[in-house]
Amino acid sequence: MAEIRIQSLTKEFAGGVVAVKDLELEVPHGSFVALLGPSGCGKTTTMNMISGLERPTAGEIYFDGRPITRVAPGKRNVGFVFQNYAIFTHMTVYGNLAFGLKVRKDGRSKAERDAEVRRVAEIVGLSGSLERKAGVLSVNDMQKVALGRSMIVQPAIFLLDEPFSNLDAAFRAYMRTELKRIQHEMGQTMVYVTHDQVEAMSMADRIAVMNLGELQQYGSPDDVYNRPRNRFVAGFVGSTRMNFLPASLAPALAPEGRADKLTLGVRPEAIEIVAPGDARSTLDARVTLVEPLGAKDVVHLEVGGHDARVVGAPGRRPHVGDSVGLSFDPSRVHLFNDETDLAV
Amino acid sequence: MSDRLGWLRGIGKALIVTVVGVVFLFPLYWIVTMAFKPQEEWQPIDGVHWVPDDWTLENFKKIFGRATDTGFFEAAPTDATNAIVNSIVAATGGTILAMLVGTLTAYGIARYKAGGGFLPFQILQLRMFPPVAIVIPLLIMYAYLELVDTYWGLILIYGAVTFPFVVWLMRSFFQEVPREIAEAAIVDGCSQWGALFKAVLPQVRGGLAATALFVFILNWSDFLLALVLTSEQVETAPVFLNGLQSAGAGQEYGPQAALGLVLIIPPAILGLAIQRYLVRGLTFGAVKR
Repeated sequence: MAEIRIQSLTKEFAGGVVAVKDLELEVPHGSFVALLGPSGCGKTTTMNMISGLERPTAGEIYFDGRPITRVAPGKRNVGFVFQNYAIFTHMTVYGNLAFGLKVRKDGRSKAERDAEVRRVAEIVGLSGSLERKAGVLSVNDMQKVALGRSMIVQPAIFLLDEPFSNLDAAFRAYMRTELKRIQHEMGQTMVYVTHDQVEAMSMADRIAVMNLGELQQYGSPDDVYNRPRNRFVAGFVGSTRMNFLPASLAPALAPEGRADKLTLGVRPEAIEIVAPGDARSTLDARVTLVEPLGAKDVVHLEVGGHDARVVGAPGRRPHVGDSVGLSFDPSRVHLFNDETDLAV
Repeated sequence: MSDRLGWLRGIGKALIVTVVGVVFLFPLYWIVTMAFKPQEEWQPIDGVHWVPDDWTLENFKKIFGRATDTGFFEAAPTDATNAIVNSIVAATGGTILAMLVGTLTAYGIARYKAGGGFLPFQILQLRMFPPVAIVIPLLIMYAYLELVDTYWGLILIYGAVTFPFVVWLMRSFFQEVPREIAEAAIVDGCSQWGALFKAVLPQVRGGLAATALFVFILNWSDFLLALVLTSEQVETAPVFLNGLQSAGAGQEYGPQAALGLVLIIPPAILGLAIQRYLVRGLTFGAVKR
């Protein structure tokens, strides 16, 4: 168990590509932190630097206050689960699980090791296939092996790089729950890389949203969702994209001499569709598409030349072409400065 | 009508396969039968003997120095045992050397782009001129280094000559292994060497086996280098085979065929021993997935 502190971490690759820029991050002891961002945002590079597979250009990483930037990966006591499993297909499941214990030579006896392998196999649900060759396992079981192999060395820090993205949907949901349970029970510090905001929201205690190598926001899922710090975070987090509409402050509200261009952001689920003439209606719109999803409907609208989406409970389902009014809760509206993209 | 056409096409295919098969298998057939023919048949005056009329082991006895009937024209009996042992030592040594150095080089190139993008081609360039072009300068160098007619001399040159093949073959095998395999081992506590030997090399066992067999066959069948760089101490089997001639009979085809047959055995045994890796090894690495 450990805490991680990352200080002004920068990674520049040969050719001048800056993958990570001046990153500051603290992962508290026993917490589950998700690094969230689109591909190429530097999340995997950050992960590789934490594990030691990549050496930072500048900056320092501390585990429990101890600088480890120049410590070899194998000596950092981290567990790493890769997106493509990276299991050793020439070994049995047992051999894979026992690998970390063997190479670390921590003075454990063979019997102790054996007991440990069996205990971890139990946790990840592989007790029945210990003697099978790892190369013939299903994708799902391979990922279990990868998880178990990293877990068995009881790493201080557990790093997972999009571990579930190759799994089928049902098993992914199951593994998410399992992982969260394991993390909770063991009080394990975990850093989880993902580009899937649902995954980040559902599992993490804190989310670090990254884009173009820079940290955009670091906070609880609630913070990131309800109080996005800038337009990127607002647009990236949320299963149906936030609506952005151009706006300007009424002259009466604007400070003297300032007429900043603004963008209004409203989550699709914060908008209510009302009758066109309704007193609560603040905007007129026209329905362009309706996507029924069962538990909810996604209604696509056209608002003064801009596209917008509304998510609501099914029921009074409007028809394509209908004119409707939109009402939204002013407390759930976000405003972004067009010049800085920051929330105001 | 289409049925008939299909039938004809089938016959055509079978015919082509048969012709190709005969072209490739006939030399083997000829060696096998020749090895068991008495001199009157491998050097006949009465036309071609397609099948030995009089099967005999005389040719084998002769190359192993146990000839009972040393005819009027024949040279003194000789013994190929030494030459075969020399060949085994030199070819095996050269293969081990090339595999050792070449595999490590290939890993460096495949994983860390060691030496820059042009290095693999520079290595391949070593193969882009005929060996005969370097063999005389090499002999002079070897003479200075006192490596002529020594095991070390042959092993060194065999290793050097086949090294580019090992690099190129193993490089493509290594490229098939996801880099995370090594990274996972390193995070688990392995050193770079440990990761290579415990995690990566076992993944390319098939490639290693196929490459080693290929290189061994190259070394095993070398004639030119051995002819120039050895004389009597470490004369290899192909050179010995070439020496099977006599004033009376000229080329001694019978004993040569017998020795040729014996020389097929070591690569064949090797091939059988690693067969289960071969099929995968020969295709694995060839296709980028």
